[in-house]
Amino acid sequence: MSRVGSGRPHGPALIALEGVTKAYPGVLACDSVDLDLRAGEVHALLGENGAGKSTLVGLLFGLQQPDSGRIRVEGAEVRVRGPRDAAALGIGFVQQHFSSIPTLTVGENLALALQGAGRPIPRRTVPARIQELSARYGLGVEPHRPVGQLSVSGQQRVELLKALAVEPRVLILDEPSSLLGPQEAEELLEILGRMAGDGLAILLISHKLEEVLRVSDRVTVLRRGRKVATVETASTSEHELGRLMVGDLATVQEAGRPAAAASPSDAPPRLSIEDLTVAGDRKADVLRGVSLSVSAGEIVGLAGLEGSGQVELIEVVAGVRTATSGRVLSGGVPMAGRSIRERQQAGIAHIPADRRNDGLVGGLSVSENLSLTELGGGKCTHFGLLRKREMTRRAQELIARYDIRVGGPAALVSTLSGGNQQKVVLARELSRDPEVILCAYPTWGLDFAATSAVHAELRRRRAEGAAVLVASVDLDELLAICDRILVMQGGRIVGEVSSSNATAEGIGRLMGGVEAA
Amino acid sequence: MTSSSISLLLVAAISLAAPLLYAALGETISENAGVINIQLEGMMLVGAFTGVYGAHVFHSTWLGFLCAVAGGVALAAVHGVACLVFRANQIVSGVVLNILALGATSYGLVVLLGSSAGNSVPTLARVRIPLLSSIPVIGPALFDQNVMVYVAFLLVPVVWWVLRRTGFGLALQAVGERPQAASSLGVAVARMRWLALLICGALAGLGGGQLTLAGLGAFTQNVTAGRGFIALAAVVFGGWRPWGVLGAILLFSTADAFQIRAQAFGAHIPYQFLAMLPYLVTILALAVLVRRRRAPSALGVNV
Amino acid sequence: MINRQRLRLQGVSLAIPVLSVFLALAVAAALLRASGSNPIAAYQDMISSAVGSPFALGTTLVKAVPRLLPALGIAIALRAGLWNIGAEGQLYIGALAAAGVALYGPALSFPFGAALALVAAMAAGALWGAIPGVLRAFRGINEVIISLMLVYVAIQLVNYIVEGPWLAPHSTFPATSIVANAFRLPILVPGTLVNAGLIVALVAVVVTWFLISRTSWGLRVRSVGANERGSRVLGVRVSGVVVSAMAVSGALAGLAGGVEVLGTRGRLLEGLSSNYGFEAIAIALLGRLNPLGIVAASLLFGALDAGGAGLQTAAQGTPAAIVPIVEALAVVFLLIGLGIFERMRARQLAADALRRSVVPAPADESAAESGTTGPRPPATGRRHPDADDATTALLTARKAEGP
Repeated sequence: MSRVGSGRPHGPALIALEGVTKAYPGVLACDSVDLDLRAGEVHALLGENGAGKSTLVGLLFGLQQPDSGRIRVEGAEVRVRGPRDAAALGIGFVQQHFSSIPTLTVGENLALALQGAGRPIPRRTVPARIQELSARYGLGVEPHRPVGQLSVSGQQRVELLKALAVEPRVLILDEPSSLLGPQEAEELLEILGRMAGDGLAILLISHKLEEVLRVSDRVTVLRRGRKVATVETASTSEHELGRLMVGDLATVQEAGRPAAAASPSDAPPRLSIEDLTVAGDRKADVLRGVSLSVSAGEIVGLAGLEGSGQVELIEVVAGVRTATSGRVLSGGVPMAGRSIRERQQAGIAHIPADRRNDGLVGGLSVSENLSLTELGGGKCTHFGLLRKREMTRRAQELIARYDIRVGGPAALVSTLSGGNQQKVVLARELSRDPEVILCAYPTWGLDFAATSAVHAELRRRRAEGAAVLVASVDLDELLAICDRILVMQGGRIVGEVSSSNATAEGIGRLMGGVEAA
Repeated sequence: MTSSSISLLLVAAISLAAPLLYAALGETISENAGVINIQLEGMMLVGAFTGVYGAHVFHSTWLGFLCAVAGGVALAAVHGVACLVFRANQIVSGVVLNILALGATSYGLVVLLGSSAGNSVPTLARVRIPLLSSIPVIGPALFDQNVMVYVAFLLVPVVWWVLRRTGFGLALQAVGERPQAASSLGVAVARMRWLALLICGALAGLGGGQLTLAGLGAFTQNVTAGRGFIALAAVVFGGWRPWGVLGAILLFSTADAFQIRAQAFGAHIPYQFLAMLPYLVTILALAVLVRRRRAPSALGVNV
Repeated sequence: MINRQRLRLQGVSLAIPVLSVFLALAVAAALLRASGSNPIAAYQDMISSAVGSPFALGTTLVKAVPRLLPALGIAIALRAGLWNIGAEGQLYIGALAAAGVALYGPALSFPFGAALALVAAMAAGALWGAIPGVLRAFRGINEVIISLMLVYVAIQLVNYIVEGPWLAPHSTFPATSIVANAFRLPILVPGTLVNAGLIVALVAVVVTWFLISRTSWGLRVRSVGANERGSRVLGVRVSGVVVSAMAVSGALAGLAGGVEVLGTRGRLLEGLSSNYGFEAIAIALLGRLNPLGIVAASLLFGALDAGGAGLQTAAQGTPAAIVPIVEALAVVFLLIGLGIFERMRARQLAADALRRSVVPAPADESAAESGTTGPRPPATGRRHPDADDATTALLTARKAEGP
């Protein structure tokens, strides 16, 4: 594959961010970041999830105001108070989440966008404008179809069209290829190349190394709100970018490494997944022919960037999501057609990615949350009546056992800290002594102590013979607790490493979509 | 079934359709912007009352219509303060405002219109369009009505044009469908919703005024008798589009006219079943038919 | 410090309904004054007709019952996150069923006749309420529109029945015959209108409380209402909860219809309910979905109704229509008050969060006090994937505050 973004002239800075800082309660999202954009360049903004990319762009587009620092346009300091200011300064933004109205046609959406930008054009001239832009950049967009009927890549082109129609000098794209298949993504990169060739400055937010290397002229890497480096693409490598993005992972504590559990690979798999596919809704498939197995007494990690399909895989096994094809076998028994409840009874525990929305009911008490999965069994109910005393006793026992810091069983779950909420989920799911444990992002947002507690519990369950499948975007975590790590990208498993010989860099490259050597 | 009885049926159907049409077109605009008005009935009722009161005080039917508009807008504004400013649930607010409207107009009826002299105002004269009104069967229905009936029907293409062909209409639909996206496009979501709501209040008030000022010439307690709910059903049945709403209302008002003139047709359908029809067909349309059009995604959702 | 502020917020939350009622009475007083009545005298009349004598008190109770029962049902549906705004229709259908059993059912003796008629009322109301539930659970159709439309279908159906097939001989208005004594709810306190419907209502209050807080069904209902998606992930069958909650809600409204027919009115008639089912929505809200709160709110509405009836007969000739005005204004003020309260609380939460972000959290997280969940919430493919995307954070925060 040839590079799209090489050999373009680099003029003076069109837009410059100087020492921009933005804090949210509890997190410094942008910490004194410098960045400059030049006309005719594709400038990639690279970083892991939560590195601060979107916040930075939000500041540039006026969605938020920086706490400190300056934004200059052609040397003059400006305040961008909102999308209208941004548009007036010639800054266009293609958001990750489409801002088109699905029930309106392409033409109507364009008219609306131009009107919002303060540049309305007569409705008669809209189709001609679309044709013109579409031809110039090869968008292939047709004015009269409702946007909701277009494919995802078609909808994205409408977003591009809307951004281009206000004739911006700078175009920001937030992970534009994240929802596209490989062919569509390739076409998109071509379009971006044409735009830069037309003299636009393009800021491309991405976490895909390969894409960045293909299309960009310069790359700025963010990590945990800080700028790590800005490098010329021509003089860097995927190796270096991967290291800059993920950080130096060589310091994974050796003590945390699992002692290779009694050769789990010899045992028959407790959980097997065969050729699982989940079709996407008018977009790239979410899962594409995934097969894996987990033995009793084994922790298998699913590594991958956000949206690579790990969470969806976990959800299919848990029964939350339905697969288009393929099989899930727990203890050799096919799970197809079984409800979530039946899977729970078959010994599957599920610690969902989004603990607040999926794992817990915030408005209910701790003891009620702990009972929700036990409403049929007689443990917490007696002929449909709640055994309040028994629920309280059980809750107290679990609170003590899992060291949940809470006033008492009657406290509302929503008042607990994140770590303690996760312990409630863990306590509830593990109290059934499950044989299969599915976890998605089990320590997301937890502090060190809580993370250690979760890891210790998972290790203990492994020692007791549970089969554990853990999805995470945190490589440290997977390296610390897993026996094997499967790397997912674009809904497929692209590599497998045993954690004893894994390097973060190698996994990072696989995650970024660079094929295993 | 003679042609003259059909002609009379059509005359009744068209004039019965007018008040419904005002309210339903208003609600169409409002729902397209994501604001639902269960108090549509209440706004009609208030408009019906303030219309008569205004006509009585100012000795002018036209100023009466203006007062009807003001009455509808006033109740809409209360809804707006509760829901758009203080983010109250739109359903609850609507239900409660219906109670308020019924109470307030009943109170006003005694206090302000108590004497029979106060509660009797001249109604609009019919405006006969030469030649066209002599077309057999449909002529009298379409071309021999009062001015506000013509206006109601002319509003259908106007509302269609505004919704589909103007920037205002596009922004309105964007606000009702994807308020967040609309906001990111620079559309002032709150302002659009207020505008849509107040327009709805104005039209619903006008619909109420049409009922009393063009038809009855007096206000009686609960004079709207559920017409606001029929208009609400028509918006759903009409698929949130002006022409569809017109179709729904013509169906409903013809059924209503048929009920009044059932004897003339020798039919023996109890009128209650005809009165149920708007609701039943709306429920069936929602439940059974595969919908081409669905409700605006953000309908009733405060942002 | 934080605790005192929290306590203050809680106090405000409890005070809002009371303040709303007083504000509504004040506005109504101004209205009375402006229209030439003496508000003090009017309120004195109202108070004496509502609570001034045993008979007045009894009237208040009798008027509270048909509002209390549907309000309990509406509260149950709301606990499941469902808007049953069709209680008025369910009430009529319940009344129809009770009258049908009493007039044309088996010849039973008291109390079996009355009991059977009440069960029929509940069953019919449940069926009517379940229709929007089924459409919501299996077709994804909003329950608001359907339940509202069914109100008018029910009313017209009852009108047809009482004007036609069941019209009492020689009746001057559309009503059935008076039902036999075996089916009547007897008067409890001689010299008042208080009938056994009051006992039915009180039992319903206890049963409702019990169902919601002491049964596994109630826990499922609350769980679905608080977090529908989460409940599904945890294995709760959401469609079953939706249908059953709407059915129970309808049953309680139907029961109110039965009590009206068998108790207060003694027969089915046109205009049986004067918007009880709609007022019940306001009552459920005014009572903050709490059974005791709902009892208090329906007693208030019952008293206003009884007092209003007194107004009409009083010397000043103050129109009784002031009563629905007070009722509706109270709820409008409540809605606005709750809106202001939510803003205060949001500001409080933001202030708390900011304080926590400035003061470093203790190394070991000590219970609820360090309630942050760390830098970013967990993200998944189907939600906004980049949690540091403050745009979407802002948007979801707004969205989450919808109804």
